[in-house]
Amino acid sequence: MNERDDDSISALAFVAGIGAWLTTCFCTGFLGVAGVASLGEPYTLFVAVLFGFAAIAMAHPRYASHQESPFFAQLILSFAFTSPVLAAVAVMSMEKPAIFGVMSFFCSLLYLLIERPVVRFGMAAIWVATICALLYKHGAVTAVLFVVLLALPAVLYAGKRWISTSIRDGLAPLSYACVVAALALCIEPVSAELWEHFEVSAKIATAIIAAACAGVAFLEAPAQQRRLVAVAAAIGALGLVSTAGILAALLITALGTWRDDFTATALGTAALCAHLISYYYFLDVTLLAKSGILVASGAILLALRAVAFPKEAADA
Amino acid sequence: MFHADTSEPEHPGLIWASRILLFYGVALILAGIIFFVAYNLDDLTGLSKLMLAQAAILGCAAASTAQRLSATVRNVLKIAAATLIGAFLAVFGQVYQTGADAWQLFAAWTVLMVPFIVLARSQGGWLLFTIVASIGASLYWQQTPDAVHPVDNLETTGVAFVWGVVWFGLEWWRARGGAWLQSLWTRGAFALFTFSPLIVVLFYEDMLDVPGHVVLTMVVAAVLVARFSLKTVDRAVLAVVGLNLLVLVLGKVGAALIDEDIYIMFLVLTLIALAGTAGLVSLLRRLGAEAEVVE
Repeated sequence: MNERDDDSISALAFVAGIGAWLTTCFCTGFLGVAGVASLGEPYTLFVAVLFGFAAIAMAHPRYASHQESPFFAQLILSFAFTSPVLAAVAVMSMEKPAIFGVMSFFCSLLYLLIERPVVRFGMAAIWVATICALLYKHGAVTAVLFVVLLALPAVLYAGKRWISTSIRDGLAPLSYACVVAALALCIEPVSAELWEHFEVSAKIATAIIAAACAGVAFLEAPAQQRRLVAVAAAIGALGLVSTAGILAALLITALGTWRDDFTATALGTAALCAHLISYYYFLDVTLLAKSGILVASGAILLALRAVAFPKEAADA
Repeated sequence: MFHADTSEPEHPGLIWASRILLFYGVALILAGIIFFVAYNLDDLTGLSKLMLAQAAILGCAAASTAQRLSATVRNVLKIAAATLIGAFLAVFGQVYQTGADAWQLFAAWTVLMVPFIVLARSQGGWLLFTIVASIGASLYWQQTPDAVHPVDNLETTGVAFVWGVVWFGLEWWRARGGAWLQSLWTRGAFALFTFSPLIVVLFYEDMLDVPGHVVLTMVVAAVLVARFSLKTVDRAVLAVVGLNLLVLVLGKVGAALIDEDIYIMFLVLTLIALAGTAGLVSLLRRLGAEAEVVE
């Protein structure tokens, strides 16, 4: 396939994707407004179930040939996303845990029944965000521990060779969602007051991400190259005393490149940019101190490289 | 996915880990230096600030002439120099409190960056140039007195005009053998920013006073469709035009029906979105197929 064919297919997919989302929005408006006006909240829940059922039906392997159409694929995605959101709207009058429970139920069901990675990632992201929001009521540290501990095995999954390929593929979207959550929880908030609550959780998240990366290096690196374990652990330790979020993003980027996994690399790189910007505006430390911490962190990374990879460092 | 292989002397992942340590080590040190400059910015004299900005421009410009560097790196340095001109002008305005409007900064930036952008011979550079110039055009409309521009809400038309002129220039250059433009990958962006602002203006209520704008928009649409479906088929441009027209129809129909039963409005919009998308996809597919037959 040449470059022009690629461009043409992208243009068709773009039009079909936008069209599918427009259709879903208006269709949701029609079903929601018409139903809520006459029948109230139970009708909204019915529409949520209807959208979920439609997404599951369209994603059935029987329609595999249709799923190659970008319009059909985007329609599945938009219907799947709309379903848990509408479900939450339908039970808005209930207590918060009940709303989260209903959303989680819809997300889990769609995750299990629809085998499309993008849909699964979306459902996992909603699910993880829901759990974070729920647990935050009981303290940020609890929420971080839950999500990051969840992320640890998910990140490590590919290192476990006894897990079958299908289960590994099924877990992949969940692992990406957990990585995103863990990276988000490492971010240094602008407010110093908020930082008091989040400092411990950011450090814990960084430490566990470092442990996960060290674990992957231990499981996958050839025996003579286990020094990577020490490198990952050292970066994690550095995160505990300096820029937790920046170094956690660095570790995820490193893990992504180690695994030749574009998604993880892209997530890590995007998080790095976000963390650098957030760190600039972070008010708990002066710009001068931040400058010193960043320069020192960079120097330590270069020193680590010189120690761990003496040949490459000498060639540079 | 990489797998551990003890027979390999150096694991590919290990090489990447080394590169990442190098890249991020340098990046963090550079970020630290930027933070340090930001911390001391208030303490620097006006002259020091200007010299700092000028040194950065000259440094990038000088480095871009080093033949040891690859062509890509040299082009990036030229574009960086063009970008830093904006920083220099901002510092200049801050130090001397010239009282000039922001559009004048962008206008000066646009003019001063031209040599660097021309020499860089990069589509990315021209994108940057067009963004700066169109922001200048938009601000000009907002910040100059009404006497200069009796019709309001035409800043978006100004943006469309700038994008359209630069796009036309690049196409002209390309047709006359501009080798680096042979694959004009930025065409979709130029189509988007040339056509979408014209459509946006049509949503303003007082644009009814300017019927010429409707004619202008339709003429631009017709020219784009004719140019990129007959002579050369570019489905990205056609997709942009088609989607914009679909959004315009949806917006106008929605506005007309919103005072009626709202669920009827949603039903009609659903049907239009479905039919419009299906028609557009089918048309684009057919155009592509016909183009392949012609070739």
